[in-house]
Amino acid sequence: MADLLHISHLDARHGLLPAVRDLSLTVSDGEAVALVGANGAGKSTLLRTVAGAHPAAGGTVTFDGDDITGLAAHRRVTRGLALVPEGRKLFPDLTVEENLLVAGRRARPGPWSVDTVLDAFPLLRPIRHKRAGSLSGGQQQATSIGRALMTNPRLLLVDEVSLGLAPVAVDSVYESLTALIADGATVVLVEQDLSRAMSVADRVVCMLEGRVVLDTPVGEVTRDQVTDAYFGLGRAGTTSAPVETPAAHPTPERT
Amino acid sequence: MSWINALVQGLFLGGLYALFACGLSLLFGVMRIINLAHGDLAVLGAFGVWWVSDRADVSPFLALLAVLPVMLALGYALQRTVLARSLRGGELTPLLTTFGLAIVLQNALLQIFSPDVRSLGPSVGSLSTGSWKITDQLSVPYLGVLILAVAVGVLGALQFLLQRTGFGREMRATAQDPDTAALVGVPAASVYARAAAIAVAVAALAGTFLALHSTFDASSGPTQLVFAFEAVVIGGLGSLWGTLTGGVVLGIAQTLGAQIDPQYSILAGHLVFLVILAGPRGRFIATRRAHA
Repeated sequence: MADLLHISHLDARHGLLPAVRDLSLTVSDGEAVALVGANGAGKSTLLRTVAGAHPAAGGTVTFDGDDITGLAAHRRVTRGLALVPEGRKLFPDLTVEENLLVAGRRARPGPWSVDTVLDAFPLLRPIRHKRAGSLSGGQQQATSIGRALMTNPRLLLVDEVSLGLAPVAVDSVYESLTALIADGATVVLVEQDLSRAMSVADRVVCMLEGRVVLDTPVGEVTRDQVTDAYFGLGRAGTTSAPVETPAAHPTPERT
Repeated sequence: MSWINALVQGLFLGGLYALFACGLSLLFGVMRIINLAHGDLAVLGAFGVWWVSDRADVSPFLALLAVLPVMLALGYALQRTVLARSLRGGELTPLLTTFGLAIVLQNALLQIFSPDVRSLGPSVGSLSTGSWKITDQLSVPYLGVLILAVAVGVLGALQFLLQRTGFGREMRATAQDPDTAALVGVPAASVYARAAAIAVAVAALAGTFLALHSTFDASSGPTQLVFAFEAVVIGGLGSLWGTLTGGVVLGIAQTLGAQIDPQYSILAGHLVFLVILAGPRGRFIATRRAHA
């Protein structure tokens, strides 16, 4: 499989605070990668930096062989990168259909159109003319994923899909994501809920304090190993790792 | 009957104010820029039309056709060079930038065209002075009907553009969340530049109708800016049909005020504006700006 995304020695900061430190990561065509880690580990910043919504302070991002580190976000979209942002970030005064159409206007040619998105997310069909701001969290999340798909991405970055959703809504969103991944989409998925993440992904990458501490195929790792990496346990070098009982599963935080 | 006449004249004056206001409303709605040079850009357009029609000896309407594309280009360039940079400097910088631009424009126009008061009215003959006499006290001016029709046409076209076209959707999406718009492939810079181009061209159109309707000189801009601003606030921010209503309410307030006593004309408009600002809509505007 060809490398689609190659991140090399990437640094990203919020002011003086480093969020991503000297991070290198490769994603191949057709892979589904789960990116896990505690709050503040730098997952969202990493995704936003790859999508061009956050500036890189150092290192390079290569997409399909081209260096895109300095490219504006909207140009990355036309190359086939799409981010489903944390908090969904729909255009609240536009209808569901208009949210989709905005993303589709300058899209790469590909299989996704308003009709195919509505087929993939049947719950959106009856509400296609409703204002996005008036929808429930699950409907908004489906619209947000659909909107990203409208750009016909080659790599879909998904940030915290289940955050703030009712469990039944999470189930339906994951159903759609599983179908997408089964169709061979390349996805990087940030998720707080470890079981969810490991159930859909081929590979799990764990971040801690801006660095990758674990990068392994899902089949070759146990939950406990990921949990240890998640909290930085068993690693002599980390001093400021949060001290919590290792037996406790990392509860998905709902903020 | 003379009160009804004042009402009718106010309606037509409102058309002119609405035309002035919609460019201002568009820039504020899309970019959160309050363009203090709006009135002066309108006067610049009026001078452009006057200059072309004087030099080429053509009707102001033909001259307007030549000036509009120039103003579109000017608006586009203005956004790309000056406004885009000042937008990066925070919320207040564009206000200072457009204030500076207004002073530059006023003084440049004064330098080039002298302080003479001009009007385009004489060059369109009976259109500017003629009217349909309904009764002795009530007459409907040709130019008033034309201005109101153009205002409705422009607002309707803008509304259609915003609601029904792909470019309009991009403009509304960028207005609501420019960062996320970029994440779905919308280049905010180019959307902003096209919005500014439209706003400046519509301002020039309004300036031309002001010049046909009455007189103008290099310092006419700020007064028109105040009226446009009042019309936008009265009608509600971000709503184009509201802008038309706001213009008409302001126009009628002024003509009714003048009916009582000519010196109350402008004052009556300001009072209506202040009453609305103090009412529930004013609070709505205040909270809306806090969210922006």
